[in-house]
Amino acid sequence: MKRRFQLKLGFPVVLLVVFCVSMAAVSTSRAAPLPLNRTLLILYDSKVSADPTATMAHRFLELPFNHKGYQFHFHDVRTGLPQLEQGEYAAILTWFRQPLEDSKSYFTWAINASERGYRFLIIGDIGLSNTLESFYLANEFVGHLGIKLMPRYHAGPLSADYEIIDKELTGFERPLPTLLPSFEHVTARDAATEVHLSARFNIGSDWYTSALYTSHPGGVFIQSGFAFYYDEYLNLSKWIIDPFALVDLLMDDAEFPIPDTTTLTGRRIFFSHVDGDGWNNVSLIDRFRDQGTIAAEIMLKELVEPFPDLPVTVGLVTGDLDPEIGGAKVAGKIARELYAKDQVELASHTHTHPFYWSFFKKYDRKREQGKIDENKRLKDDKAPERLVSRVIPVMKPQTGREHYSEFIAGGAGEMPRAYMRHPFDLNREIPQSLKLVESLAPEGRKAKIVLWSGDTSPFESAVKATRDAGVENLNGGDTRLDLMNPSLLYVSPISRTVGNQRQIYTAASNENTYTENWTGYHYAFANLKATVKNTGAPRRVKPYNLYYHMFAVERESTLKSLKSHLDDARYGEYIPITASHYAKIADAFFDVSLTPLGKFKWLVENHHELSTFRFDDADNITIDWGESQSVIGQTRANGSLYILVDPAKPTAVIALKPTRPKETPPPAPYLDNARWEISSVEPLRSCGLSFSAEGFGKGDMLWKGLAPGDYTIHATPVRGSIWEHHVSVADEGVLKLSIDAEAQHGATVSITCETGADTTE
Amino acid sequence: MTDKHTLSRTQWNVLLGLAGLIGIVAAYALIPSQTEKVEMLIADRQYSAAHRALKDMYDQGSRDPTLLANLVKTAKQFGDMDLYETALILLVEGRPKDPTLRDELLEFYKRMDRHAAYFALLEDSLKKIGKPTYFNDLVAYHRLAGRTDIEVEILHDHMNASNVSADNLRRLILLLAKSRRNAEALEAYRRFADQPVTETLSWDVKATVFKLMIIEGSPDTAMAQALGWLETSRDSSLLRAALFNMSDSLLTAGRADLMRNFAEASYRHLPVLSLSTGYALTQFGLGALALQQTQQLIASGYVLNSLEIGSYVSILINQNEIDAAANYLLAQAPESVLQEDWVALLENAIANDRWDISSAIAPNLTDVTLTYFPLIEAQLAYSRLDHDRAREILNAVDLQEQSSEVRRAWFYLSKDILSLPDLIARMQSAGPLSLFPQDVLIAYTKQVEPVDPQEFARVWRHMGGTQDLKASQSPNK
Repeated sequence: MKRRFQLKLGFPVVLLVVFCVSMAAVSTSRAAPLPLNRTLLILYDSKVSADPTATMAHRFLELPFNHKGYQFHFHDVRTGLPQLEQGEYAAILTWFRQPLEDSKSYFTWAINASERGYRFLIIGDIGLSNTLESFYLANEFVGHLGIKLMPRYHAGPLSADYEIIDKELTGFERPLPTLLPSFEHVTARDAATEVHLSARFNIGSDWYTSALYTSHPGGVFIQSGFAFYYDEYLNLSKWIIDPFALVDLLMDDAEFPIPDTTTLTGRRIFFSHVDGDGWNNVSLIDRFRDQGTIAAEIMLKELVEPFPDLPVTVGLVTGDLDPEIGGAKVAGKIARELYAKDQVELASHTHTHPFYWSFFKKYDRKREQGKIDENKRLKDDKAPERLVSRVIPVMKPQTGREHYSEFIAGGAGEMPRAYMRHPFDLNREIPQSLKLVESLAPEGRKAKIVLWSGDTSPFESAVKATRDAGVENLNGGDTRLDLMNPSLLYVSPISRTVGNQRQIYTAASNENTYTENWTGYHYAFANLKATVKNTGAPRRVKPYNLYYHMFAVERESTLKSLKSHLDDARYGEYIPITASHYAKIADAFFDVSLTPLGKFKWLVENHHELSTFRFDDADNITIDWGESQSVIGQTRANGSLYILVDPAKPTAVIALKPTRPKETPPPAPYLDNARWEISSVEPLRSCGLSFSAEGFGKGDMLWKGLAPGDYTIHATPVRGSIWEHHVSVADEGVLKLSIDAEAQHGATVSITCETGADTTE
Repeated sequence: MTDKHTLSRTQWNVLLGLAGLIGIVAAYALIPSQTEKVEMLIADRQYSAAHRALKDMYDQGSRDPTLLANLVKTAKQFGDMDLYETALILLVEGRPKDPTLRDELLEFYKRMDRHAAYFALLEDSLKKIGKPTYFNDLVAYHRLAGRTDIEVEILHDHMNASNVSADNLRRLILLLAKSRRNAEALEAYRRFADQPVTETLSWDVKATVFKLMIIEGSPDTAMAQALGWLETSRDSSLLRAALFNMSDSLLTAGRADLMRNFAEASYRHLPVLSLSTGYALTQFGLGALALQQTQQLIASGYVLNSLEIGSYVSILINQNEIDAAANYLLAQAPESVLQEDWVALLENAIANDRWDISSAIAPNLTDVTLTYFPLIEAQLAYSRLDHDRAREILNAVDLQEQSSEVRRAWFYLSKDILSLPDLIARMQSAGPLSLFPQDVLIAYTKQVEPVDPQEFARVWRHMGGTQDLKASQSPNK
């Protein structure tokens, strides 16, 4: 009897359990959200643009897309068309510059991609070849973007006028051209097509309207003559279309926490790095010249020692120390002094300083020998020195230089690298060069970054060599934004794609572009201030980067500029970090994963060193502290909201809510900004909070949301003296601090209540 | 007693006195002036000392040009840019016609982002010295910034200056014409015509001037000019665009009388130019001439591009050569018949009873054209919103007998017109689905999959090995 009863009871229970587990599994699988796709597929034609770096998409569009949180994946159509997984890319972008050879295959593929839901951005040439079949297929494709190509083309500037002008989208850096460039006749195909810019033109008595900018659920189309304006006389360009609004148009105003590479702990990043060219050059400044002081020593005395609160990354050309190839050991003396400084980060600027990296992609020593012979001949002819000689020690002849002078560039020809005695060896250029740098530093200090030399266009295996060596890599980009480069078109994106590798660009140009490759106008590097200002507002698109060559200290005017730039960094509201730290943040941009958890709520993963996320036009939103996790602060600048997540936590949840006139106090104090990197923020049980900090100089910081009362600030650095201070927080709950302690190797800080303050609920 | 050859004491004294005086004067002359001291320091590369000395002299009120010139050098050297600028400005004011000084100051303002100072100095330099680069730079920066009104006024004011470039004159002419300042534009053209210009630069100006002459009532002059210009070039791409615009001007002005001569002269010069005059000729009722010229061009071996095909087909239809139009179109790309534009060309002819498609048999139509007849008829019916008729025609097409291209054309027309079950049924009855082109099968699976996964799976099996797609993953997810 008992057994039958138990069976009767047991079976329904088992069923119930199985049912509940199944429902849980079903609900979990149904609710599992996917990470946002932030990658666009960029198609290009290598017949026109040899590699991604040469494409219009990289040069012009990658920066605005990066700024909005997107990254590019390049594909050469000449290698075939990619097999697309569903949802593999957020959108597809083309900016062809001439018809495609195999337009039929391309359009057939594009039709398929469109039918599978991919949105396209088409700028410039659609890729149409001059056959009717191509025209038909192209029309079938662009039909998915809600437009139709007509068999008409309008050339000549006069008999056309603008009809529809979307003022939100046009006139970004200059107005629409008065004389209209040539355009294809394109019409809107269906009711879902929105025409943002159009022109009316006539042929005889027949009038037509052509769409110049359109948007549609299938994508966006921009006729290239109306995207930007190029002036041939000045060789300068400016945007006509608003490229940021273009991103929003294509991506449907998608809103998510944008991974930001310009800001850390609520402040704009400052970093400085120096390429070691001219290390041993004797200065032209008479007070130094008369004593034979070399550039590296001037740098040490004038720019490093007086600024212990500002880190600087110094990249040595290790060949400068190698007498076997023409260097001199004496260069090592100053290197040791420099690398002994806490604020100096070790870096390699390669061993033999390649000027033209493409020469070494498929290296042929015989071809280089031909160049060496030419170099010898030119030197024998006593050709005048060129800029290239700046790389080479300009000093009294030492054994190395005299013996191997034919192997040292400087004979006025175009040599592939500076030191050519031994065959090129990537091992020597990267890992061995890094080791050599480390041998000049105190025990335990590591070289963390390679600064690319010459044309800063390394090939794929060179970049891979830095990754294999476990270091970052940096250089290239040459960002400027000033009167001589008057457009965001001259601001580089975060990185350059090199095969399957990634090269991180600098955030500003060095002095070469200001001084015509160091041949004149040496005062002009002072104008870096314009680029720093213009890339900081109205949009903060770049950190503040002070980048120069060692030889820059040869001239008084440039030395003066450098000091002024360093003063700006010291006294401005920046967070100074090393170049390798910046490179890590930049690299992390591409790894960040963002998963929507609900409306205005996202899970952030794989953020690594990138701990700042941004929302633009954010005056009406603020952090929802109750729903967020591992968010340690927020700050505002230029109408944007910067969210600070804890760098020590691998994930975070960012949740937003609308701002209200009377906000409820946050559950814990939060950071507004700091000059040190702040992490591991924990509330203290009694009252207050503790955190870890790392940084250079004094720890200026601003905390908000503290309960009014008295507090004790206690900072315990890993190295150096403990610092303690007593402060009072007024009713506003704001605490402004300047912690005078050594935090370069880390510090633990606590802010504890004394009396009257109680942050516990 | 004195020797007549010896000097007296007095004479000695005078001599000694004179020698002393000479010595003092010589010694004084050898003392370097302040300026010379500075120059010696500079020659010695003692720039700091030189700069200090120069600053002292400047602070004491000296404005000697040589001092200022040296101060400019040393201040630049030392990065004392405020003093550099002040000294340079004083030099420029002292020598207002010296372009070297102005150029240096302009470079400084440009490189230091001093926008307002740069433009002010550029304007002042242009007023005081007519150097071409001042004009070109000023105009260019306004042009880059899109300040067209200012650009036009500067260009216009300097139109007759000897150093104004052809490029700038071209732009002035076009901008004036755009603002309907026709007389001024023609005046500017007279200046432009004196310049040695490249062809690329000149043809859109010529087309514009031609139009303005027609508008301003000088057609004979315009024609004489145009025919004269034609003789100067054989660059077909430039000429074609220009001639198209000129023909359009004649059309807009209604000058049929001039159009024939113009077309015949341009054809004699370069036969390919007939492609630019054809449209205007047809509009003027001179389509026979347009057709003759184009057919002669094709017969000579010229291959029309897609835009040109459209123009040629329009001419054929205009001349009631409907069969030829259809044959030609379909010979290029059979699917083109499904393009609404081309069908519209044929439809107009049909609507005007110039081509009875339902009679079907016309000896001048090629076999290819004949096979597409039903599809043309279906497309026409559909575009007239007679969907029932369109479906009837499509259902009647025997797909088993058709080529791969016809099947493709049939599919793309039918997927929007037939119901899905009808589409599936028709395709299944046509034979193995693999007879349809690959792009059709992909599109077909997209159509089918949401309705019938088994049908979808069957199609994928048909496609096995032809497409590297995961069978478990529908392209239509």
